[in-house]
Amino acid sequence: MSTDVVVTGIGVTAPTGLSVKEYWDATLAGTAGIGPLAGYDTTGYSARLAGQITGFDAREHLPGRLLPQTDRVTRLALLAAERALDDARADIAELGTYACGVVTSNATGGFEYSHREMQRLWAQGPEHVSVYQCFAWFYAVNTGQISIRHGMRGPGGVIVAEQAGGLDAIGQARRTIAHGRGRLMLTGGVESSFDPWGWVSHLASGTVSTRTDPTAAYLPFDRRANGYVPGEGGALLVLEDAEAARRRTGRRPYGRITGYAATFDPAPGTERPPGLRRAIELALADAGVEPDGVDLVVADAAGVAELDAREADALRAVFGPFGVPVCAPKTMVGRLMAGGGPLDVVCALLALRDGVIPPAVHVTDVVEDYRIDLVRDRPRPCPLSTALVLARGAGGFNSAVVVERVP
Amino acid sequence: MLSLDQLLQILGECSGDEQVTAQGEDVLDREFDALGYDSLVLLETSAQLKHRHDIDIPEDVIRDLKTPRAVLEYVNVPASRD
Repeated sequence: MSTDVVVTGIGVTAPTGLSVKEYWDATLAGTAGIGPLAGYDTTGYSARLAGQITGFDAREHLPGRLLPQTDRVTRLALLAAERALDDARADIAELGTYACGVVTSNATGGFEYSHREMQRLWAQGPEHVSVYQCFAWFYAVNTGQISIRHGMRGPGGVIVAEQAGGLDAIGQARRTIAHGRGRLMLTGGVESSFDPWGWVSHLASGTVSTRTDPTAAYLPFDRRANGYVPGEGGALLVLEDAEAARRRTGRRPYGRITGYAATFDPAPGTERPPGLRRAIELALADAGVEPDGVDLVVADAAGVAELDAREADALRAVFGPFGVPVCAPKTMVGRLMAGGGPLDVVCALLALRDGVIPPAVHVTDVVEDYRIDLVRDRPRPCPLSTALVLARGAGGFNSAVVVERVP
Repeated sequence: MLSLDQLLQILGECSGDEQVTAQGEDVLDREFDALGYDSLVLLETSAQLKHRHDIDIPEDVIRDLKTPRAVLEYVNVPASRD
């Protein structure tokens, strides 16, 4: 893809911060946002730890009119969208309302809202269900509400691919700009579904950590790996054509999105290998980057031994043993479903900007056979120009994005 | 008997925009569209009128009631419905 696509704005809603600075400061400090799931009694649930966003009061951030019709996930997405567009100093009317679009990913929809309305349905009857339930539940609603609020009527879309979807959205937004169909695309993903009904749906994966010690629950690549901790939030990014963005803003962008690929795993029981390695190789080819040109990999970091081993296999196959620094910022926030990939892209962009790799926390005993260079305990300063971000979604999704520093 | 204040109160709650209630009589003849109330707000409002005041406005009727005055005239003058 020849068009140079850059990131000109970022909005973050993470368990470790509701702004880019808060999130990045916490990430470099190794501050984790994982703790006991709050809001209701979790006695009796098999897992009780989550990466929760605290201190978010939607009334402080959104007009009253948007509250009756939005779930928590959409409120977070609307905040991230507003922050990203502000950060990019984007004037949608000036850019052209049909030249600006929104592509987001979301995997679970508006669970809390639906939970409440389903209770009304059963307890009081169908005429008591809010009319807004018709869209508030929907995983497409973030894209819709953002595009309506900001008048972004250009190419829009929604991608669902569990944990991998957020990177797919970025790939789709980049393609839209490269094909000249949009001047400015807002993209990424935000997830939140921690009401009791949503929570049990997370637990149904069977791979959520049941440990109760927040420092021992989510330990990707560690000998003690025992599952993951779900997190909420995510990130939205503003993408633009590099030259157009330079003329518009006169500023240096956060970085370039230079490669993207997605693959799908073969059906279980077949002889063919998992698709992650192919996703990495295709994304690097798309970026025109050789493996030795990659300075950092932000890992999917499943926290499940078998999946960690597969990811380590793919990294060794492409980069060689200990061939590239690997970072796992998810250890601080948990796995954010569709929000996870975009938040990791933000992490990669900021790492490139500042020349420092944030540490994985809590991981102390990396499985030797993996032979990966996992950055742990403290940030590692080093010159960085190219990073690869990986995400896998349950069911066979593999996605990879290459980001590069703008000199 | 449904009052304008009662109607505006419900519209405000259903839309999440409570400011319009302060405008009182001024809004009587303004179209819901102009007040920023879309068809979903009106559907939600008709559901609440039913729950709170036992007032039944069928969906195809509420669609044609364009102003607060039209709603009040419809619900307060039942004899004129036919």
